[in-house]
Amino acid sequence: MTTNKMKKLVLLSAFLLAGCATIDQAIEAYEMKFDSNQYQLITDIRTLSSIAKNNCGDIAQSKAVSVDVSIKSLTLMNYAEHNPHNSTIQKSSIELNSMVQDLSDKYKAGAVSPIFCKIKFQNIEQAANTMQQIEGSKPK
Amino acid sequence: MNDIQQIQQTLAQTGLGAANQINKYVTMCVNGELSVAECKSLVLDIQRQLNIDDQLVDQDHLNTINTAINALIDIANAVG
Repeated sequence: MTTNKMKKLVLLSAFLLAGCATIDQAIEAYEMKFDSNQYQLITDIRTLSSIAKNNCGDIAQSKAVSVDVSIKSLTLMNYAEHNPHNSTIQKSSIELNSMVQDLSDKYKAGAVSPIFCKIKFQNIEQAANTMQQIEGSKPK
Repeated sequence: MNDIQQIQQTLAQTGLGAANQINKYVTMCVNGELSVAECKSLVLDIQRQLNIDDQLVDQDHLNTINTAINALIDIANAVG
C-alpha cells in the first residue's frame, strides 16, 4: 500500500472515530499538535489576570496589567491566525481578545470600578483556563 | 413583571451556570453596583466564553442564552 493510500485510510478512520462533521475537521483532528508557544501565551494571560483580580483597588497597577494582558492577547491572536490546523484556538483567541481589549478600552476611557475590574479579570482568567485545557489536550 | 425580570426568569429556568452568571450581573446592574456599560461588557463576556467552549451547553440552551443576551444588550443600548 502506498503512503498516500495509507494516509487516506488513517484520515478516514480518524473521521469515523472522532465523529467529525466535515473532512476538514477530520484533517485538523489528525494533524493538530500541541504548540508550546501558544500554551505559554495563554498561561501568561491567565496568570497575570489571576494576580490582577486581587489588586483592583490599585487603579494604576490594574491599568498597567490590563495593557500587558492586552499585548499578550493580541500576540496570541496574531500568532494563532496562520498557525495551521489550529481553528479552535484561532476562534477562541479572537473571543479572548475581545474580552481583554474591552477592559483595556475602559481603562483608557478612565472609568473602571474595582468590582468591574475584579469580575473582568476573573472572566479573562476563566477563559484562558478553558483555552489551556483545549491546547493542553492536543497530542504532543 | 418587567422585561428584564422576564428575561431573568427565562435564564433561571435553564439551570445553567452561565445563565445564573448573567442574572447575577443584571441584578448588580439594577442595584447600581455596576454601570450599564460595565454590565453590558460582562454579559457579553458570557457569550464570548460560550463561544470559546461551545461544548459547555446544548444547542437549545445556547439559543435561549444568546436570545436573552441579545435582548439584554438591546435594553442596555436603549438606556444608554
